Amino acid sequence: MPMNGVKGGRYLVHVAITLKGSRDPEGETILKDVVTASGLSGVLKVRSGKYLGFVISAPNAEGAVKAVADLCYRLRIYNPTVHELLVLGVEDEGSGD
Amino acid sequence: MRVAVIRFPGTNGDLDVAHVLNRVVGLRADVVWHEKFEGEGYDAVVIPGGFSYGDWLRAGAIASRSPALKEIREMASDGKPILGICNGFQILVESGLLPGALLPNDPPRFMARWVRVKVLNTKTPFTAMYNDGEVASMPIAHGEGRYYIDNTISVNAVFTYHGENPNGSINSIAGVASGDGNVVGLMPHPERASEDALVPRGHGKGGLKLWLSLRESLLRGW
Repeated sequence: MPMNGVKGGRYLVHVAITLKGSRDPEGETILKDVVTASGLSGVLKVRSGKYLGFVISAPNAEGAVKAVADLCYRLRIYNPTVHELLVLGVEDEGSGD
Repeated sequence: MRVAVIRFPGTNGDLDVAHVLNRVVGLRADVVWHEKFEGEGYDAVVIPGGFSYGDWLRAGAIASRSPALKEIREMASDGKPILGICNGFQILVESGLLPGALLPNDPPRFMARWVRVKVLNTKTPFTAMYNDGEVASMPIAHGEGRYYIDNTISVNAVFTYHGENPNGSINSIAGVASGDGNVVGLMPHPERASEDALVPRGHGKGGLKLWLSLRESLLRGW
């Protein structure tokens, strides 16, 4: 836990990079050749993507998410023309001492 | 006339490119480790194919942030010819020197085969010796070559796949150039299509004119 309000804490921010606006052949193949081929019905779509986890020190969880989203945009971790950044969640990892 | 062929960790097309430049078309080419590269003293740059940094994050994404790309960016703004082949094309797109994006192939698999490309723009230092609309044979070998751009009207397409579109590229685009035309990237491998010994039956050495174009452009002063 953060020792005080100034230093803040240590957070693990989970993000995924997925395609937008263009076909996702990996997701389509997983749906068609694995899920549907196994006889399961009811799954309508599979989306593929890349997962990244950032451990970051920040004043609070909201600040950690915002900092990670900003750096992903600014450093072109994803390409906004073709990708969407999904924030999957944030975990408090304690003070990080 | 000196051409730098840049080698990153995971580059594998460097020696083939240097071989064609040095032995087939008679330019002087040096293979240069990316950390040692300085643009000073070079008239042109080729970023060859391979799997720089193991394609981590996205193909070309890590190499595009290297100091070598800062040097290449300066050379590009000076109007010097810059060519990216396959992973080199991905690096140029990731660095913003060329527009658009290269996405995983559709259908989603690695494609290694000979294809035909059509030359749409002969006003680049790498295509000056082709005829407009000429069809040339070259092999492709990539998993992330699906060219995508949201504005297809503004893009300076230089090569399109002729016949089949092997990777789902928008408008069958196989290679593009910067607005000035001095920066060119393409997914097919011209260095593997420049000598008779490497060309399978039914195809021609469609890459040779690209290197001859570079030589002529440098001699005439691009």
